[in-house]
Amino acid sequence: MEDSLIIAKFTDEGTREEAFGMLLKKYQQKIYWHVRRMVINHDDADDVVQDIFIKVWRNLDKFREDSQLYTWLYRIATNECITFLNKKKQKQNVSLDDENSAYLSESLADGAYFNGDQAQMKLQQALLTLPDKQRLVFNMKYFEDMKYDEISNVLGTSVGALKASYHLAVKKIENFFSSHD
Amino acid sequence: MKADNTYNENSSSNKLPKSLCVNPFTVPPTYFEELAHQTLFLVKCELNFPSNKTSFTVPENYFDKQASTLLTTIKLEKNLKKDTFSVTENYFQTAADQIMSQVKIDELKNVEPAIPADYFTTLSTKILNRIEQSELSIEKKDTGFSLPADYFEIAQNNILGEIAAEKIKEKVTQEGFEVPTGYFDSLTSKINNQKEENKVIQLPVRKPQTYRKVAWYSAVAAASIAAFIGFSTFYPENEPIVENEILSLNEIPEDEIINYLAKYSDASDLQYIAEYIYQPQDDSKGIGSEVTNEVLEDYLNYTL
Repeated sequence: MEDSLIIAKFTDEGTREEAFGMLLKKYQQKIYWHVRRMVINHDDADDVVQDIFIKVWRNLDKFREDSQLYTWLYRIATNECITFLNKKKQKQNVSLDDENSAYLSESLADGAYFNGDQAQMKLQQALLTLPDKQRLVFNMKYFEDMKYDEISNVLGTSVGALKASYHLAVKKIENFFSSHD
Repeated sequence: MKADNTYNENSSSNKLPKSLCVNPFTVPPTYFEELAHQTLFLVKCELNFPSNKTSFTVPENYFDKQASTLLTTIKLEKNLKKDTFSVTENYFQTAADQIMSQVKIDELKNVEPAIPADYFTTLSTKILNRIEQSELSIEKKDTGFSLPADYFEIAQNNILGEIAAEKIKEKVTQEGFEVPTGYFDSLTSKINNQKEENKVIQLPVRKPQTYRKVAWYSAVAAASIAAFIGFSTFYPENEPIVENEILSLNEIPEDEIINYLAKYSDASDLQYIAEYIYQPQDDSKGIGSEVTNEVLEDYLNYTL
């Protein structure tokens, strides 16, 4: 299903609903997992994903096609994740400048909708030692296998900085595994 | 076949005592049996290989040449015994020095020179790096391409990082997150329902020819008014009179209103708002002055 077809149908009021359905079918799982990896908790991810697609519904007609559609979607999703996580930090009286994501460890520990083995739990715990934005870069590169150019378009960060951030994240995770063996 | 002891045959006439009739000679055990076999073997050899016939051959005219060859060999041996070689003057005096020099050279070969620790383990890497650099400089001359500073060091870190990530992937093959059964099937309908429930006064679709700025600006003004009304409900000591609030908005700069709206909307809305900001006429009463009560009421119904 071509993105250009979705955009064209969305422009026409008569086919807007159909286009939105096509967009949901194509992207909702990708966006969900992108969000879920960041917010950890399924219910939180559910809320954020719905907010994202409502925003998409409201603003898709303004999409200028100066980037790929999925890059635009990811940008919205990423911003919504960061906004949600910042609100969560405020609620838990955690500094916005905190250098890790330990405030999410409770969501991970309660185990809701998490059926990973020890190694998988350890990896998620390792990821929570990273700052939110570094965790974001790691997720997009490691789990979603996005190219650095694509991540750069989503986050507005240079490719060099992304590479450095990613490899630093990998190193921290390696050290976590070594120290928790 | 055992041989019969014939020692005492034809001795009956000697009248010797019986003690002397015993055969004093002995033979190895099974001698006579082996003797028969050996004799038969020799007979066969004689039959197959007569002594007057030999299977060995010699080169042609061998015996004729043999005599001259022997004589030549004898002469050579005689000449070798004579002292016919000579040496240079003072050869033997200098020979000793030369031999000692050679001995010292050989000794030096056995002495290991002092070299840095791990020299040989790093030598191959250094040589390969030098080769790469020289090849690269050749390439640079040929192609004109240049590289960013510290490129190879950064590239090495990137590669090592990718390798480390691969190792993590080998250890952890899945993430472990789950979703409720049928979640994604229901997500679409949830989003569509929410889309209907959260209908707000939409900003008009950008149509270059039919866009109406005044109506759009009314919506922005209505939103700002509603925000202040909301503020006043939390602080009851303020008089929640709409008309007073409308009049007091005249004193608030437009930039502040836009900033307030921007705080509660995303950047795309802000950009859209900024593009189409209404520029009041000089005789205008200011922001909110043209918002009718009906428009305000509609907006409040949708958002509060």
